[in-house]
Amino acid sequence: MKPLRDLRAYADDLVAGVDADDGARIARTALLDIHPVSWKRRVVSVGTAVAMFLGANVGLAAAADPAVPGDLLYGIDRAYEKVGHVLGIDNDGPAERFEEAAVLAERGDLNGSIELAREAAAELGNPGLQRAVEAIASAAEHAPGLQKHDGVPPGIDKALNQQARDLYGIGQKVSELAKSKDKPSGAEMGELTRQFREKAKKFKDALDKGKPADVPNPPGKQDAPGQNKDR
Amino acid sequence: MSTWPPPVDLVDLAKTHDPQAVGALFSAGYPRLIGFYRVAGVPPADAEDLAADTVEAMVKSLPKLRASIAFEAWFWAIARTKLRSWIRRKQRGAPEARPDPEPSTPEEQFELAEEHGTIVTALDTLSPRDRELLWLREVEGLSYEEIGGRIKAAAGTVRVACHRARQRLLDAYQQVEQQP
Repeated sequence: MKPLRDLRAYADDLVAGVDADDGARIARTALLDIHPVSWKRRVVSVGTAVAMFLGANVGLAAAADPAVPGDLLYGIDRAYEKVGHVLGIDNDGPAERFEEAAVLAERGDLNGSIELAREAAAELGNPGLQRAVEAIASAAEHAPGLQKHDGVPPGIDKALNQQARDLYGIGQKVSELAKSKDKPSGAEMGELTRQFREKAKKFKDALDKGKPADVPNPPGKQDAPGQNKDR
Repeated sequence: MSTWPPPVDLVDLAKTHDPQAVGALFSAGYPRLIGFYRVAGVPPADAEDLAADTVEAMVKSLPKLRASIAFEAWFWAIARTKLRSWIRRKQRGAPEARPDPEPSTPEEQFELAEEHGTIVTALDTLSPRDRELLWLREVEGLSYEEIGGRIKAAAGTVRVACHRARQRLLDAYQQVEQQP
């Protein structure tokens, strides 16, 4: 029956002519109306994301959140998801870039992912958010070093875990800061980020050298050649 | 991501308001809503607004959907309810409702005239109910039982109504074709 064939062809063209992403955006925006995310909670989410990211990569995931597997990309993806919540909306440019960043992270393109997240954060002009993204970027930068050390020698395991907990604690501080004040200043967020980077760098260096940072050598032993003299 | 009807496990996940699942669900559903509303005679711009309203209503109601397997029928029932509300607003002369279906842009006008002019003109002569039934039955392929369950009518009644809608479409189509 030709009219029915024509009707189906017309329907197919109508459906094909619609941008399916519009539907996803509308639906996710509707979700935010149902589960509104306050400004405080958004910043808490960023702090938690940083904390979860770190936890996921140093074997503390179980302690931090049982839902986070010890997988680098998953951790970054979750971190970006949390950062995405900071925006509160999903239908503008920065939000789209955060979504794209999450997809890139999922695909393993860390550099591309971070660049997109940086771009989105800069566009929003929120210093706290920018620093949070930089914290995630910094963790990602050190991730290959962390990944190499899946099997941590038993003798230094405890010390490494302590350092990892220190890093994790910085993420928690971001959350606490957000809980205690209406709006953390850029300087406060910046200081936490600076601490985070410092700790992450030391931790990465320690892992690269097969021993924890800030842990003195046993008496009678000297640093191995090439070890970090800054410590 | 655009599988339609969506798999049950995706619906299950979306019911928990998982953002990715909800996004995937409606990236597939939204275009079909637009198609449904357009075929039902809603002008393009209104169809987009109506589809957006419908998606929002669905997202909010998702956790109340008991059987995920019944998602498709549930989806079209809400779509139809929203359409009915739109038609009522239109009949009351609400400013946001436009009186007649019309293409939104010159490009669309041209495309419709060139590719689907006959069917669009024929559809314009049918009642909203006929258009709904034709979409649900002939485009979406829902069974008479599924349609009847949602519009509160017996399957036999739906079968007859669909038959009459098809017949009216055929008559209208032939009339359009015979026009010079």
